Amino acid sequence: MIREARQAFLSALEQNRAFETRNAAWDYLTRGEEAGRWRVVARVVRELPEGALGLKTLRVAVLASFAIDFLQDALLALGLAHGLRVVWHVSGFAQYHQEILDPDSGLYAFRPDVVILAIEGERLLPHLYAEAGALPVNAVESGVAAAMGVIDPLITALKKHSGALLLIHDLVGPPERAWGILEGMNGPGATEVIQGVRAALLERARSVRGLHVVDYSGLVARYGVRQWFDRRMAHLAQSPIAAPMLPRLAGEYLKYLRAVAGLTRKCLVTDLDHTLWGGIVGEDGLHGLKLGPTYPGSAHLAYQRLLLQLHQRGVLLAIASKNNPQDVAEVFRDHPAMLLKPHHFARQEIHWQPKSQSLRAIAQGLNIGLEHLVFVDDNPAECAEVRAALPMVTVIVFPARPEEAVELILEPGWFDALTVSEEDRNRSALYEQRDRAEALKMASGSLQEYYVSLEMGVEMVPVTAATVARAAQLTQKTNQFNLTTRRHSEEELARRLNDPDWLVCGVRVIDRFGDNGVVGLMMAKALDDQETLEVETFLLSCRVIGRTIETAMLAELCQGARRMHRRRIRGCCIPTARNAPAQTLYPDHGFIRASVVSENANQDETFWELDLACGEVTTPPWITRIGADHGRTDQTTDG
Amino acid sequence: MEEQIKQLMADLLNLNPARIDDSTAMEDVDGWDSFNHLNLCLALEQEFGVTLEVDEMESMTSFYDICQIIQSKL
Repeated sequence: MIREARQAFLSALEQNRAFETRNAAWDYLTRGEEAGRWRVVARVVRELPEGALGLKTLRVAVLASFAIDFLQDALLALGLAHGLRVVWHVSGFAQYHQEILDPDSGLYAFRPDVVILAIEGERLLPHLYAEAGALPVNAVESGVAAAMGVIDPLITALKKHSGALLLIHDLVGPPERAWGILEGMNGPGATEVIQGVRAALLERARSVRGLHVVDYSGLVARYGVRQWFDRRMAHLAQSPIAAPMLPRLAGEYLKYLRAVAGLTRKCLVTDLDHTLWGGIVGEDGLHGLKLGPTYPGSAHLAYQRLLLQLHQRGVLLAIASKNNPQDVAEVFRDHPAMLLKPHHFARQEIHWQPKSQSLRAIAQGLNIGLEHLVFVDDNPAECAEVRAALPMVTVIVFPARPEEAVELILEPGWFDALTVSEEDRNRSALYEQRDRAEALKMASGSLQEYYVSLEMGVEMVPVTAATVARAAQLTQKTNQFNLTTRRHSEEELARRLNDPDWLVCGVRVIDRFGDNGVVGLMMAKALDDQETLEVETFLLSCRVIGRTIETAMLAELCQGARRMHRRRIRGCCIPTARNAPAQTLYPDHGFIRASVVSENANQDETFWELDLACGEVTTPPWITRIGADHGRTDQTTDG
Repeated sequence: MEEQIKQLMADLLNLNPARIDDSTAMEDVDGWDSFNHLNLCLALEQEFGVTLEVDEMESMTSFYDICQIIQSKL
């Protein structure tokens, strides 16, 4: 009776195989047919201890004007498939006011990482849903004022009492038109009022840090109002969302949860034949390929357009193809319909080696983890090979009907991030710069010559309200050169900016190939003992690892300690599977191992101290300090 | 069909499917509360592609009743 997909999930779980369990859960949930599968997986999640299967724990509180508990199984189950252990808190339906306004409520005692607020339009603007009265000329203004009059105090209280990320649903209008075809003809209609509320919510989200608007109306529209709602359940159990739609809503929330947990994918690796174009270049030749204005070439072109959009968003693109490189080069050069050009791809692996090997080379070349790759290939055998060899890679089988590819790749939101920074938009260009820098490394003889040849300039940039988004993003995305891997939200960081005991400093790196932007972050706190400056966060983007930037950062910390009248710097190293490059930072710079009793008793954690009376770290001679911060520029000497 | 219903009840109510029989009823099973009862009804609808009337949901409070009602809808 127990079917295959379920068995695969349960046996991966039993063998405690982290990525295999997630992948098997994904298959079971998305392709399985048993109606009980959400509960089966959710029960597993509820029983997992913290840290099991390498899952990241996220505490999610859901406040709704309707009974939303039916969502719990779907959210916990899908969460597992995405690498998250979701801990769920729900307030009794329509009790969101009390929960939010009372600082001693169960909501705040739960210490949520994420709060979701789902208030229905019927609650906020009842007359709009109940009456067919003519709306006054100023209906949009007064409707927005009424709705925001309820929501604004909730936002203020939540932001005051919690640092959680706040997600607010927009509204879905009345499903039926009270005026029939005259709706909106004799004054503003309900739709305009609802859109006005959405615009007001988005305006708040743009100005309030850590507030996002869930595009609930868009989600409902994608599946259709008549499918989405179950009136019978609305009347029977105050639970208006149809059961088959609950996983869709959970999937929408997971886009945010993944981003908070630093699980946003960074690179899409695509196959070429039957994927980027129709046909096989090695057999059909350049002119036999299906790519152009007519089907199926138009559908492959739509896939290319998707990749181009992802590239514009800052997602890296790469190629893994079994082909002759010269055939591929010919298509890029001579096919008139090719939308994508070689420069859009940060890496190209075109040869006859296994795809898993290509993916390894791509991850290594881009200096990102394999878990940040999404691999798209039409060949099920290639997909299976990658899944078996590299279970941490997200594998998408390019559909036999190419017109289905765009939705299949985009809807799960693998690449969704909470902020888009200038660095994101320029990222692909930055990697191109890095490629050239790597080539130079090969060409120059000694490491010192290489450093000198890079012509590096480093600016210590105080983090301000304008740059705090980038700083938070760095804490969420940086895994390798990250001493403590502590993730922070924008609002947590914002609180530190005005605190004189905190040193919060971004690091901008310029080299002969261009401006890398803000690629490093340090946060340190002057302790009450009047002696110690304790480093809480020390990280550097993988783009600039291995260039002694970290030495310049420690030099700045020494200066900072002096300014703050502290004589000792204490750092902490929390080893992870990914941060090996950072683990020797402190001993490499003369810090001495210290025994400090840690509050959270992490056994692997080590502490390191540098007494400034015994020595200081100085900026390497090949790095120029730029920007006259604190009225001083370090001297540069020639190599 | 009976096996399928047993498995679904086992999954949703955390029971051993081998121990479900005609006498398994809502009042005797811990955890078969009104919330899980609605969950079970919705899952049955999805599993068998049927739509239940509200009075059917209210009366299908044992394994035997569930089988009778689902059978009548197929």
